[in-house]
Amino acid sequence: MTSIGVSIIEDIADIRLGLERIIAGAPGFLLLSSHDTAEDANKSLPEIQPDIVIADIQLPGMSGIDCIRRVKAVCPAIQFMMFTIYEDSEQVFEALEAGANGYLLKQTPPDRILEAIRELHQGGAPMSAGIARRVVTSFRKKPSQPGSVEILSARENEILVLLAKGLLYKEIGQRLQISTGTVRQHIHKIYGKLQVQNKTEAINKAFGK
Amino acid sequence: MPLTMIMPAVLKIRASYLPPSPAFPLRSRLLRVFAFLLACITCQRLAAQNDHAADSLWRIIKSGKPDTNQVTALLSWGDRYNIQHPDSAVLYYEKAHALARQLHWSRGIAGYDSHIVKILNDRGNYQQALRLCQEALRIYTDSGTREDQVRAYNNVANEYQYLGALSTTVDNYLKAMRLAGPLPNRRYMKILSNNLASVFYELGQYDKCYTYALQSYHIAGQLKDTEGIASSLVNLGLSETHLGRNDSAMRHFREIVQVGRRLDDYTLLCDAYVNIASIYIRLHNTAMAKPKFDSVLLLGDKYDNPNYRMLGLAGLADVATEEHNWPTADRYTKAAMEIARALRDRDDLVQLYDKEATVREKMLDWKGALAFRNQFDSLNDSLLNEKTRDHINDLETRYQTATKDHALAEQHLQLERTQEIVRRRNTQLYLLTGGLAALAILLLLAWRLFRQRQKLNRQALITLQKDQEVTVLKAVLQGQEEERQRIARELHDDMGAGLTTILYLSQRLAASPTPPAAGSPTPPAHPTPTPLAESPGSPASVPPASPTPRADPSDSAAALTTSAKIATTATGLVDTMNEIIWSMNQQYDTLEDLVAFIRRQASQILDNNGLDYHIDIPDHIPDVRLGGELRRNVYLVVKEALNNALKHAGASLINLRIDIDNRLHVLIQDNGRGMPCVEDQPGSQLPAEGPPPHDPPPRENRHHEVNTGRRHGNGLRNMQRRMQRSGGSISIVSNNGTTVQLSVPI
Repeated sequence: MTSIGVSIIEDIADIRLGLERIIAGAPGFLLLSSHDTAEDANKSLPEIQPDIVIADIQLPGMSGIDCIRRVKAVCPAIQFMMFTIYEDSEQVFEALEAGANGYLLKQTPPDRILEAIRELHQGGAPMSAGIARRVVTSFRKKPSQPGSVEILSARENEILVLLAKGLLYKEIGQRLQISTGTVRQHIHKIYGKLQVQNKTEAINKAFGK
Repeated sequence: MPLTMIMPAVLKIRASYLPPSPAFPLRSRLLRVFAFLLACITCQRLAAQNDHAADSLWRIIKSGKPDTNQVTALLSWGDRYNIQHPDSAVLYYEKAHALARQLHWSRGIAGYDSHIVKILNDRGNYQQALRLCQEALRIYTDSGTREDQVRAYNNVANEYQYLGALSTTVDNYLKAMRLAGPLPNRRYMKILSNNLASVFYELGQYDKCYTYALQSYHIAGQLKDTEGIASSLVNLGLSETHLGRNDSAMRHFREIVQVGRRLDDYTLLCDAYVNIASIYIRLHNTAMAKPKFDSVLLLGDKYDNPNYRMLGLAGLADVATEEHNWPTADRYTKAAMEIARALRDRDDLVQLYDKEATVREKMLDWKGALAFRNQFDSLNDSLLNEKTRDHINDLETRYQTATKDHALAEQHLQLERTQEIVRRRNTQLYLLTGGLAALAILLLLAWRLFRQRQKLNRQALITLQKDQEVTVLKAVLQGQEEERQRIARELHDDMGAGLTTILYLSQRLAASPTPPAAGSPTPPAHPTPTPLAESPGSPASVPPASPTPRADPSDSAAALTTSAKIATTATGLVDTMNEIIWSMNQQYDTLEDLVAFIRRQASQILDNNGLDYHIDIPDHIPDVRLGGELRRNVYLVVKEALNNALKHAGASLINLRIDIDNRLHVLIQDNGRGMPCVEDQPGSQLPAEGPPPHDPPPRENRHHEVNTGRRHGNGLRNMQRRMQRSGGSISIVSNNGTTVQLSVPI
């Protein structure tokens, strides 16, 4: 199995070094680069082509959210994982709308961090009850323009509702009789649709539709 | 005409103890002042224009060159026709407008706006004029000089004044004044002060009218601007009349007479005479009043000005009324009425109907009196309707321009205004009732009363709503204050302790000798970005909460324990902070959010610790909003109960059940060995005696037992205190495991 290439964007040196150590020291992971600003990452990431970027949201200068937008525009294959303290924040939701594929809590213990990266690489994604609720309302409040916006499938809706009620992936899997991995795949797709929908909405806004 | 909105009401209030005539001519004079100022401002750019300039203008127009000079020339040429042939003026203005648009010359467009507005005003199309003035203001705000902006604000204010949106008018004049303050040309301050004086006059705030008129008078004096002095004097005299300062009002009107003679301006003379005579009438001195009105009538005849003829006739009618000479009063009033009809001056006409009705009454001509009273009522009603509509316009405009910061002040202001309207309505109702009772038309009276009552009720309802809004706002502010205090308390209680612990632990760490391998700083930071190769040989990181201690000397083992404690405490602090933020976040303030959060966190904790659990939650959760404190208290108590079951009871199965009626009930049941410290808790049952129902859990930290016991007791007390604070209750029963039941009102 090939290693997972990881880059880091984090402005606090101690945290950045800690993360570097966790990733560099783990088998199956390859630390490709680490950056202390989004500007710097923005320049280098398209060349380095990591599989996964762990990015802080609040950075001096350009924000992590802007960085996602720009890098994703050039290299949509690079996956972003927001590195945050508080998962239910407005910023995390904005980052997800901008194209982030998941988020990672800063207080997560090291072994769990590696697990989360691996899961994301295999197409999974984390989602809290609060975020699920936001996603549901986000899709509900913008009635889809035919042809332009992807609509959530019945299954995706079902999963979102259960998530919003506070069920774990595992519990959702048991209830719907699918594997936890499948639940993750669904969430991954939902994030993708959220981003597309957000983009369409931005374009519609720009053209005054 | 904007002035009609306020004046009839003022008139009627005064009618009970003053003859109606004084206010009547005053208004006409005021109207002239106001119109004069508007023209003065909008024309000023072209004031220097004369015949010599006309030739060069015509040459530019004939050349037909499509440039900005052409636009200016067309506008100026149009001004030549402005008064005599407005249609021709419009033709040239429109040409200028088309060219300015073609050139994309925004200042030219703004210039067109300012010019065409004069004609729109003359035609009474104030809404259109207002839109154009606002367009000009927008353009000048972007690209005009300070003077342009002063003029633009003044013109916008003029239109609002025409439309009767008086408080918006005041706002715009004040904005113009702020801009005009630093300008070297004091003329603007003079004009704006006098304009403000005229608005405050309309608003019935005569002391403010007086203050601004005085300011304008002083500036005009400094500028030796005789016209300006005259218009300021009019406003001074008028406000003083209303403030009951008859002597100084008389002095100021006599000063106008002198100015009028010096300028040879008969209109100034007429206005001054009318006002002086009106004061005499009020003082019941008809001998002094009559010659003045005679002069006004004569001057009106001489200069063929029907307006002054009408004022003179109406004044003479008042003199006759005062002398109880009813036939003469009847004759003069009728003559005045005829002119007012021809002039389509509805404001004056309504007054004349009122007078004539009274005169007919005195002449015992009941039928005639009734006819005029009916005419008065219907015309007055339509004028009042306009007034009501304008007030609604005004309120709307205020609402749109109101900023968040001023919301509270705004509401107070509107409240006052509404009360003012209610007060006026009351007075009107009284007068209406009195007049109709005298004519003994009871049917009409009943109908009218009903209508007025309806209006009053509506106004009272609005007042009540405003009151309620203020109360709600106050309650919200108080709630926010309480929330702040709670957060401060929680930061202190919950985060302060943890941070202090970290401080002491890290001091201990610093004091103990540390081998370089374990505690040394990490290698120097890589210059970023540095593509890093994987280094499989390098030692793994020292993760803060790493469960695997490294094989190091004993000192470093102790250091590791300490650093592990720091990591645990820090993780706890981050969790606590997240919980505080969650409880503050208004996006998650429903019962549904709380239940989802509890469910998610509980299943995560239990899943992570490898326990079996069963969670039972109702499918439908009512849509209820909960305060941050309640959410946090319930969540923390549930968390504490789960922690107890995990850490102290050694349970292997946990049931979590939530029920909702008008309270929220949470039940947490474990199959552990009960609680050691339940006897501390009043109202709780003792733990079951005898051997624990389950095997003791692994005891690698048995020496902590006493310590944990005390902490455990604290935890239980904490749970109880939190439930009390939220007005809820908690019961803890140890019997074949522990059952914690809590319930809070929602």
